[in-house]
Amino acid sequence: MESLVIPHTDDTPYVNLDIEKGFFVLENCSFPEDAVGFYAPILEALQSFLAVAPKKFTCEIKLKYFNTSSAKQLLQIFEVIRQISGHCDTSVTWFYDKGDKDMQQAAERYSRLSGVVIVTKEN
Amino acid sequence: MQQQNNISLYKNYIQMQELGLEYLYCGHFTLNLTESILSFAENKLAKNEETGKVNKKTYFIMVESLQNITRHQKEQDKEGFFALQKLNENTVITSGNYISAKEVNPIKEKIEKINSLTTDELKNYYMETLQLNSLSDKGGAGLGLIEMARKSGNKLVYDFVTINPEYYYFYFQTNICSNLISSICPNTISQVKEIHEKISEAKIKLIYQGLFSQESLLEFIKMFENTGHSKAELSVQKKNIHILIELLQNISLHGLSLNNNKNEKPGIYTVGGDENICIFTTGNFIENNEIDTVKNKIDYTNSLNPLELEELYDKTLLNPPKESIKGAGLGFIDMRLKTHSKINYCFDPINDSTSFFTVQLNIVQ
Repeated sequence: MESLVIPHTDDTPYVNLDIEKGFFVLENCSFPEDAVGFYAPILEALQSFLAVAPKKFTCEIKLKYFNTSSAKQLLQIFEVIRQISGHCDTSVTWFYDKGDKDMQQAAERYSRLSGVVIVTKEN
Repeated sequence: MQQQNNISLYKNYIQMQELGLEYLYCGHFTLNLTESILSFAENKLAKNEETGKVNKKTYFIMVESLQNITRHQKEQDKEGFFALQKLNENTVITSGNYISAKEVNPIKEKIEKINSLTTDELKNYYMETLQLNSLSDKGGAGLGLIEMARKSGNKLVYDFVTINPEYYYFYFQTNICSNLISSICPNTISQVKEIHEKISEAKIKLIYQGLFSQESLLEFIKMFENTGHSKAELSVQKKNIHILIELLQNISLHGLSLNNNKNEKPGIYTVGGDENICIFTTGNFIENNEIDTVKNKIDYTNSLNPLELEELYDKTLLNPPKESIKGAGLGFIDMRLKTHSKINYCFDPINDSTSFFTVQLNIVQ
């Protein structure tokens, strides 16, 4: 399987899933009109990554903001990450802008709902 | 919950639609804002079936009008005004700014002179003024006015409103016909002036009336980032943008299209408030059979305390309701959680099948 790189646009984030390094990053903004369509290939790539029995997985979420349509898709991503974390060493860091309580709370919510340990870090 | 009809944007929508008023801004003009207004207008104009020639002229006149506003603003640090109108085949641009009393007569005389000249005479007058090179104090040489008259092919329209013995408000309107043969362009300065006075009183800074799409949303975000609300803390600014995205996507995703083109969602949106509060209001069409669902959803969301809202958010995220495939049914809950204020709304019945839905959010800055 191949790594996945999607450059960011005005309304979709930069995505990089490096299979060899076991590294995944989501960066910038996420408010596409069709969030399901945008996240489908990302979810698929993460599931394929899970299938190759990875040794290590590092995930960094650096989103400035996301819309509620993206919120559900992010939860699906965290559900796959939870499965990955059952197979290998996994670290997930959620970066948020200084003082941005909304994004900090979002990280806590995803951790609570998916069971994934998420470390939050203020930029 | 009692419906609050005073927030309704239906009358504003109808009035602006009848006048073809698409965009209206009053407040401080930054360089970035000027650029985003131009980029927004350029996209709007490009979509129309006008000839390239007219578009270029319109663009020139917009640049001149915006420069007039910023030039005067520098000196007096007072609110400017800009409006873009598409009426039949014409583009009408209105600008407004404060000027000192001593400037009134020279400007009036200049415009009257320009208006009295024929096309050839205007050309000569332009050359004469260019040669005189008598730059006015603010850097313009009156050349701008002549060029605007030449490019529009129409008489310049103006009005002065007395503010106090020292200051006047100067309204200036240029009409550009897309059909070069017909030069009958409407003079809408009194209506635009009336709307400007009304929205200033209501502390509204920006109004857009037209079609909503993801593309226009991106323009609005850029434009909003460049307006006066940028003085707030970064986290508050992000909250504003977040709410703006949710509200505008509500229109582009769920708004009712009034023709066969499903991607064309007509509506209106306004930004108001001051340095302490940011008020977003949106209006769009909705099918009458959807009113109860929307109403129940908002009333229920409004009735919950923060803890209950969190629980509802989690529940909805885990099990989104089936009817909202595009959205996740989270929009109103999220807006309530982020703003800590109630969602105001109202419905204006239009006919047996359609109503107009206005929704308003207040965000403490």
